[in-house]
Amino acid sequence: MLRYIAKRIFLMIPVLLGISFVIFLLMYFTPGDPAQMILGDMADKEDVEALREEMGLNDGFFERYFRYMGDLLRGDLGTSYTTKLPVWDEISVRLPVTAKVAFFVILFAVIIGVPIGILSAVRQYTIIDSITRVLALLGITMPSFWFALLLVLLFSVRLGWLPASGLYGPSYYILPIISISAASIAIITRTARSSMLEVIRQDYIDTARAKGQKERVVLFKHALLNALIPILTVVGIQFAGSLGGAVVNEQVFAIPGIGKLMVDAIKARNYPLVTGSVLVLSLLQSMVNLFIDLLYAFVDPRIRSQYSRDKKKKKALNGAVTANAGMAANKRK
Amino acid sequence: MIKKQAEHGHIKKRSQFQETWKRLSKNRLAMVGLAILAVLVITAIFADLIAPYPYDEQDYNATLQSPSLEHLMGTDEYGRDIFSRVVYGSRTSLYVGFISLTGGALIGCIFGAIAGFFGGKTDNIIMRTCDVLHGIPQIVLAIAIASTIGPGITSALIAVAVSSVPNFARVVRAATMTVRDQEYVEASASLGGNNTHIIIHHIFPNILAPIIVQATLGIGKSILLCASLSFLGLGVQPPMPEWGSMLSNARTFMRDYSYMVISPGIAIMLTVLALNLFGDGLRDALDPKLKK
Repeated sequence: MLRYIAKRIFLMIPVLLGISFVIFLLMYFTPGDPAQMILGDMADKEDVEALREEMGLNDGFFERYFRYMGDLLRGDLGTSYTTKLPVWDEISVRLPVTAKVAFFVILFAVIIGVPIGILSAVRQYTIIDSITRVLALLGITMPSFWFALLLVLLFSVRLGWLPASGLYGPSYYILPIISISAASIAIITRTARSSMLEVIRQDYIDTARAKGQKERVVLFKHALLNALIPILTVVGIQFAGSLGGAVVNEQVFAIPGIGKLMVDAIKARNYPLVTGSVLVLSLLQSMVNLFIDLLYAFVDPRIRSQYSRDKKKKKALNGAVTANAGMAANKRK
Repeated sequence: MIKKQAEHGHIKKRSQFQETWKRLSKNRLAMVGLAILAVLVITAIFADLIAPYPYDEQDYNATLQSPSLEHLMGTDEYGRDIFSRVVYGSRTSLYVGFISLTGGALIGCIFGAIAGFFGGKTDNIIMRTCDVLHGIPQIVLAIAIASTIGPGITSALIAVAVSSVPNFARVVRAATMTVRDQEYVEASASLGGNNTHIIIHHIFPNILAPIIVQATLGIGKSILLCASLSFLGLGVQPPMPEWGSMLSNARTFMRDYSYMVISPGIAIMLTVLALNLFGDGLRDALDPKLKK
């Protein structure tokens, strides 16, 4: 298992290097002179040129990229053009906000989506099932930023119950979480429903019922545990998606997260901050994907046994190789 | 019965398209999706005839007016008719959705087919590149591309197209790998068919089903992505009507003029809903085994 984790982490490195290259390339070709922007439109040409030289902006692409990567390996993401603060300092303040919102979003989506999906499957073709399917379809098709605006309109402007922007207390989280999680709830509900429908038709479920097990036990112990892998996959995808996908909704609710930081940085042509934000968001997404893959092993004993089986196989193979080598050596003797 | 019909030569031969259409037409939800799509496409094509006003006609005597018979969905801060802008917006959204997806699909299909067909190092290089593009959250990648090119419809088109390439490449690669070892591919190769001929004439026709499904469901996502970009001010720019940018603009006035927020959002939702209903139906019709 540890070998698998190490292998997955090792495989993340080339992907992250590739991401850094793509983003650096995009930022390299983005129009606008950072030196001019820092000094302002009224600055002397000579001053701008001197700053360009100082910042290494006159160097070639690869020279700049390798310098950036060298700095990155030392944990330096560069300096923000606008605030003159280290990029990591700016990101580290915003990162917990985005992570916290994404965590609550996925928690809310699971708490609502999984039970509704199960209920919909158990009561297939009833009115509950129909309503669930229609709502799930709406959840998937509705733009989250539009839903966010509607929620603000109703709960903040009309009723005045909840705050519309910022993140200064628990009540500020309610509207962003509902709006961002709508699509995730819909997708998790659909997956939970279809996964449960597949499982509850299996013979072992009938056997469990025939044994006289309570329906609750049949559903949650026998059915849900076996239907969990597709649900987990989708939860993982949604969690990873909510980290990056919150970019738009962070704008709507003025949430001081990494998404808003990135969009504001793009508008200000603050490239080191954009590159850093994209890298951190991509790293987070990769880590969530890895975490979900590892979670499979804990949930499904069949997958867990695969790791140990591979280990045993390797041991057996090594044993056989050693034995063969021994026999060959004996023969030679 | 079938025997009798066969004896009398009455069995009608149906093409794969007819078979798919027959199954699709039995799916009521897919038909509803297709009907909505048809209406949207007609609206986009004949926007000049349907819209009561030009999309950029300003009337400073009728700014921020609530919905009325004269202005069905009200007017914006420049006195422009929102209904007309929603109608013209269908043209922009469908155009961006279709063109960007076609571009993304084309590139993704070519690279996916090459990766799946040749395997080995070629496959490794293409798929690792896809892993990199896939490693960046889609909206984040689209935002980064849009910011490089600069706001505008071209930037939205390219951003959405590039971000949809990895999905297509993966689907096509997997599908190609399942058919590349079939006898008909070997037969073509033994008859002297070169790789390009085999991919175009033998592989592609046999993996069209997953590509069509991915494309149909992908257009909805592309439209949503484009709307998100425009909402952030990085996609289609005013005065060109686009539902996402209309919502972004409406945000400023929604406290007092809430009607401005409603219609562009419904338009996006209806379009994506129609594409999803039709895409789901198409998936079931093209591969009945998938239907549960």
